[in-house]
Amino acid sequence: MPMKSGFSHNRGLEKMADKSTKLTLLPVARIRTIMKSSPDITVIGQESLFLITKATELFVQHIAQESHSRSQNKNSLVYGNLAQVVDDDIAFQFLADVLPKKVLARDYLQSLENNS
Amino acid sequence: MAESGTPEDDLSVPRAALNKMIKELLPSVRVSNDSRELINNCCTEFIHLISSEANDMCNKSLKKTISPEHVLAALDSLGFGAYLEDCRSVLEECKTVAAKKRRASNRLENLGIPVEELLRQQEELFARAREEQAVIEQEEWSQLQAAQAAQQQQLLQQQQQQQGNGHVQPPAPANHAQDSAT
Repeated sequence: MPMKSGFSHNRGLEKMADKSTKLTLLPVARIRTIMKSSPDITVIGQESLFLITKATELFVQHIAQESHSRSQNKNSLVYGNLAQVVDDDIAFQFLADVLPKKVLARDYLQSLENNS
Repeated sequence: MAESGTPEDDLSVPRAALNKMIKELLPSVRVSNDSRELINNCCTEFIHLISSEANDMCNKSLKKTISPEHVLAALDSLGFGAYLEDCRSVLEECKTVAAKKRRASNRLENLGIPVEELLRQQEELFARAREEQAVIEQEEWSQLQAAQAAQQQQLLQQQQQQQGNGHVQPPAPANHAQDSAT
């Protein structure tokens, strides 16, 4: 499913941010800590940090809304909905390890048998 | 899912902030706990993904600091070009807020006058103070001299008066030795 450009849904995020004088909803300091946990990351400027924080917020919005649109029951969101998004959207391929589609035990055992 | 907490597990987006976001994005939708946990993990992965790509772009550009341009280029190349527009407006807001803060801190400390102007005014005040002090000292000296001159004048007049009345006898040759004491 192609990604919408411009994100008309983002007005939701804008409204949330306007409630306070902060520029971001997620704490910038925490995002910096997460980044720094990777040893090869060099120096990052303050504005770049804000950008990545904002991008992460957009990502949450993106994945939450895409997952919800795939759920059968519009009142709930379950793991399966999230996993589905990884399959459908190429940009989310990087999440394949984090969101593996749950495999039925017997299918797994079957594949083990096939490989031996 | 890891059972025990490794240091990496503590490095994630704060759960409360995330829950609040999800609540406002999908109001009246029941989101299972494991879904929330997964969205959290996805966030961490996303942050690593973007930083890593931005870092690569930074290294290629031979710059030392990851700049906003590197981040924007990274988002685009990873397939998140749709985020660019909103990211750019946050960048503009950032710059505006930073500029406002700099102007505000200058003004608050100096009552609306920039630092250079204040220094100039201070120098003027010092120069004026030195001038006034010099004038005062000059006047005092003149007054002192005038007072001394007046005193001398008075003494002289007194002496002349006394001589005129004859109270002071011109010294007789015989008493010359005594009078020389005055």
